[in-house]
Amino acid sequence: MRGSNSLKMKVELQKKRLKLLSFAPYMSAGFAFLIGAIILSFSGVDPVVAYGVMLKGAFGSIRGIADTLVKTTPLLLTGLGVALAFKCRIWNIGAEGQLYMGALGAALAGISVIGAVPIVGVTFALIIGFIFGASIGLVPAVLKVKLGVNEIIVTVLLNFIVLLFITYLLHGPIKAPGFNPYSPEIFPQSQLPIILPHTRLHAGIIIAALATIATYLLLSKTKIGFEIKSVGANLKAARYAGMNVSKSILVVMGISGGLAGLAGAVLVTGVQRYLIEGISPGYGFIAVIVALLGRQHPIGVSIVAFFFAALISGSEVMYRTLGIPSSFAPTLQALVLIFVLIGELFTRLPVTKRGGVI
Amino acid sequence: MVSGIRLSTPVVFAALGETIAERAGVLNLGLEGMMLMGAFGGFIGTYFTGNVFVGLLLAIFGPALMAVLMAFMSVTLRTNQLVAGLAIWLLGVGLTALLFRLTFGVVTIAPKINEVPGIDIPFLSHIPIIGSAIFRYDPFVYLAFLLVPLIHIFLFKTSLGLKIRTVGENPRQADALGVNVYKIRYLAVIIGGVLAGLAGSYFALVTTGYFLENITAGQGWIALAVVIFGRWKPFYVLLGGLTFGFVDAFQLGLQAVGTAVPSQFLLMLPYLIPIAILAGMYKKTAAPAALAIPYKRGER
Repeated sequence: MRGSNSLKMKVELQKKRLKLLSFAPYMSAGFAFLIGAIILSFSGVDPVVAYGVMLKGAFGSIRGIADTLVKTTPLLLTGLGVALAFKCRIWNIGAEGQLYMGALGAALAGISVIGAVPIVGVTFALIIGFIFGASIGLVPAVLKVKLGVNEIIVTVLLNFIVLLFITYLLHGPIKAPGFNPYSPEIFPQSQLPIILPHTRLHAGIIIAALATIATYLLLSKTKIGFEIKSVGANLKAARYAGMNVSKSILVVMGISGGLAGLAGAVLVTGVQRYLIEGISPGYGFIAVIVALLGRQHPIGVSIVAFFFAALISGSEVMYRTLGIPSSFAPTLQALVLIFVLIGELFTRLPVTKRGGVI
Repeated sequence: MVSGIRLSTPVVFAALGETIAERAGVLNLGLEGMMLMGAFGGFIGTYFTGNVFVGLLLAIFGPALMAVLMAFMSVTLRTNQLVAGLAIWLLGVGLTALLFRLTFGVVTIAPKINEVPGIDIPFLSHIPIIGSAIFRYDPFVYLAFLLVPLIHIFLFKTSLGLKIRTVGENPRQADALGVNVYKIRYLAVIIGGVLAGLAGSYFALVTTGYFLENITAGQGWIALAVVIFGRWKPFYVLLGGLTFGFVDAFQLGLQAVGTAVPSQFLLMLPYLIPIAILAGMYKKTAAPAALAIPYKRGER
């Protein structure tokens, strides 16, 4: 009798939690926007007007929506990569560097002979971008597997190293004639086609969608996906079960870096058409927030990537019309993460022994 | 030699603070963000009042607040410490860039403050050769060197230091002995934040006189590597910080002299060396046993 009663109570409590749980992220985001509004009004801008401009900029027109989708693409690809690594408890904070390596690979492929062959050109550029990203992603993985080096610091520091390497190349070996440190433009055959006329929306979004499905299938339907999840959930148990942990780490970082590299390749082949130093406004860093908020799940990641892309494209319009600095978007995104983390106190997520969201 | 010591100063500050936090079992990945906040606070405080001490106060205040937030998330809420730290880092990066642009707008000439000058220690600085090499630094440098033995004594010879170390090694035992684990961890993270703020302010107040987006250029992360290299011991941490500083001075010197090596490859050195050092340590680390593990009273 007592047992069934307490069970009933537990179920009730669980229901209440679920209700709160589904509600909490929105409230957390609301708090973040509130702080944003306070910052805006302190700097003399009416927050209602500013947020209106942002909303209209991101969703108010075909061009706006197209632009949001253009920005979703690299954010989704890097977010998927970071999420996959986090799923395995590999803290890959190097997506920005991996993205730049991918951009470099795609740019090199796009100006090579193969880059001029129709259809083959763009495929080649994307594949090379993936490979470049994967190879730089494997550096911290090898160091971790072989020497037990903590991957967090290595992945972060590699970002700086890659960026300096790109700067060097753009000022010397691969600089196009002229004043600016740009690479030569890639062949038209290496460029991603525009899929919505009169906008900037290119086929990259389809690639990102396919990558989302592929990541989902990898995690839920394959043996290696199961191993990745097991290593992330309980390293000791995975090892005890005879899984090859080193292999999982290498595979995860290869794919993770590859996806970030693909993001860079898409930026070159779909948007910029040549390589520049500032091709990414920090997509690889925001990807960390995207992966965490999306709970390392491909669907969650794609939803967050879309809304964060809207934030970025909306804030660009805010900059053009109201002069609000574009760093408003990443600040807001970091605040959303912090409030979501804090919001978990009130929902009391099932806390694992090691604590926290993951 | 002289510039090597200068260049290592912020890393030494940040790494010493992080040593204390990690000794208490909190891994603070938000170090870089806190340093940026320190640089920003130090800059605007000095810029608007002309008083370095107001700058220093603001340089400490912002990061200390962030440290409270970090402690709240990682200690009270038991959020995964890595996640909490990353959030703090990204907040610091975004917020400092945003606030700087909101304060100064788009400027063609970057606003500047006067750098803190070096102080001559009377008599000693006039000793030939070594005089100017040892006794003509800015106050930060002396403070950093002073802090190393002080923090060593604090951690290993005081009861509070013992509490901090116990909390980092075995929080349950510490709790059983009547130590308030939460309070100790809060304290350690806040001390770490204050030192990170001072570290960041060095860039604005001493090195450049400017504030720029990402002015700390990853040195918060390098400080994290230095803590591991220094095996959570202040004197070794100093050694690690100095190693970084001398490598940085060496590559800057080479750039000034002019070599066949492109400057970008020289600039990579300060980032490559920490990776090489971590790789060379080959699993020989002895991190505090409870590092990055949240503590909950009464849980097995």
